[in-house]
Amino acid sequence: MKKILLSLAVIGGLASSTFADDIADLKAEIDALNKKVAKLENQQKRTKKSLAKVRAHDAFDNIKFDIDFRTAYDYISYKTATKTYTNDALFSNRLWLGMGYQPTKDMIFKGQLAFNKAFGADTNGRGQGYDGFDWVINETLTDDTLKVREAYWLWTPTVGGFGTTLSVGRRPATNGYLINLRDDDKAKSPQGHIINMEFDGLSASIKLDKYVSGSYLKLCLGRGLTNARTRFDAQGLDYATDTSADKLDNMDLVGVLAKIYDDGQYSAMATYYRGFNVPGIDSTLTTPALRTFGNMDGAALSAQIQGIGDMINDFLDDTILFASVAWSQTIPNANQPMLGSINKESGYSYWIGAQVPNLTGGKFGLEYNHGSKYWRPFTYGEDTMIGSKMATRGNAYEAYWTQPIIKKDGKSLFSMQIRYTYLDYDYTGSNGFFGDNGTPLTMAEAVANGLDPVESAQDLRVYFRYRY
Amino acid sequence: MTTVKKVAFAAILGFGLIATTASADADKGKRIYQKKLKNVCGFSGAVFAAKHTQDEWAEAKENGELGKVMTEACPAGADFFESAKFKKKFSTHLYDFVHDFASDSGNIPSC
Repeated sequence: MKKILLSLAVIGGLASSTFADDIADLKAEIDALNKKVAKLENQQKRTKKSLAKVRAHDAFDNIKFDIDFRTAYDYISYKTATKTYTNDALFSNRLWLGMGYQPTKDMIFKGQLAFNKAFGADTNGRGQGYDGFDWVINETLTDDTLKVREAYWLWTPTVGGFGTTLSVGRRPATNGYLINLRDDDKAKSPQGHIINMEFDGLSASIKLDKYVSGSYLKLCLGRGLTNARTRFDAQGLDYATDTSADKLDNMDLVGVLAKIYDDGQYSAMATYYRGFNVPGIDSTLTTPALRTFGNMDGAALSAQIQGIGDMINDFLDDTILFASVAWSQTIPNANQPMLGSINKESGYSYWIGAQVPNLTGGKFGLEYNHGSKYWRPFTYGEDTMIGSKMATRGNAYEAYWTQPIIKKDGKSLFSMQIRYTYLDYDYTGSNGFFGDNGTPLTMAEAVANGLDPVESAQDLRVYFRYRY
Repeated sequence: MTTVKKVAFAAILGFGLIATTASADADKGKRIYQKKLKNVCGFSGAVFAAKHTQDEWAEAKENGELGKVMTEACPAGADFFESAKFKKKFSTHLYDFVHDFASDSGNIPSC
């Protein structure tokens, strides 16, 4: 028995000694591993830092492209005094190929190439008439050529402690404040109630948000028409001003925009502009043609509530309400009746709307606007097939449902919209220029003059849109 | 009202006007920043978002430390970042926003 116990003690002692050695070995191995892990962690940190530097450098070292491609179906219908005209098979594609480059923090280039075309070959000279006018060339259905919709540089220096911007180039004054809601776009600075067209020019702004939340002041100068002669002019006067009586003057537009207030929930915006030497059709000529008619003033005040209450629930948070009022006034040249009148004529318009979220993660909207007899905004580029609803001298009603179908990182990648627009005209000439074809006649007056005016128009649209 | 008008309005109303659901939204995050934090922090949302890289914001979110990291970026907003509403509701929208405009995002701000 003693022998057995002695043997066990010896074996135990030996095992204990081996176990202690193993523990020491293991500890050494763990220490070595810890050192390796620490080294690897440091390496990973350095790699992450390097990668972040590379990404930050890369982010400002190349042109970034984005795509906005939309396929739409429109059912359109016009009711005149005598007849109804329809198109129940109008399909179209619209592509915006955007690009941006920001080599430094305060210098940005932005560009956008676009095409906007109806399905099928065209035999009606689309894009050759006023639908090919420079103000709307990318907003109307033309052909399958890519055109420049946007190309400008934007400099954003801080001057005297104020954030400022200066930008020159071709800038579409489209998709502006409030009209962006039905268009499902981010709002650009123009007020959609009065300005919605493309232009070449410059803008300069100064941020005043250190005084009033979100406020800024912006000056915009645009050239709507140039009367420079062509290259290889017959008289050798390439690009000189053409002062011939049958030529249009340069047309310019000066506007002052003010973001009065914007705290992310409540915002208000105001604009005043003057268009110099605005064109119109002169019907007194043997062959009616465009002539310069005078100047045009306009102004608007718009306000928006994005979210009702202080984050009460998602429905109220995402509900948007807005209202806007606008005014326009003609300033005709001597003996050049603008909108059919040699006197200064004022028009007004008001616009209200709401947008609410729905169960499917989409948005539902209702809008109404009214325009008076001499109402005339610059909204020729508005994205409405039957003519600008904001220009309606009468009543315009609209309902839409915008639905994201595929989202990525909180952004709509693929979406659809169903929209119905109904325009009920009180007067003719809602979408004309500033001369005779902008003359407001009641429907009865127009009929008495042998015309067959459009009394109402409607557009039912369904689109699918890819953006990335 | 013509038949087309009635059908169109009814269809859009029927499809569209149903209750609501929320999903993460960078634009909403921007609005939340503008409304709740811009004055408190004293700088714009773009400056706030650019305090970190996309990876750093993502890591903070994964580790459940978004509030802490955002507080470091804007100490004056500590109360907001510690609030129940931030944790329950605002953090996902704000995260989408800061991730979109992180220092290495390369996203060019609209003008």
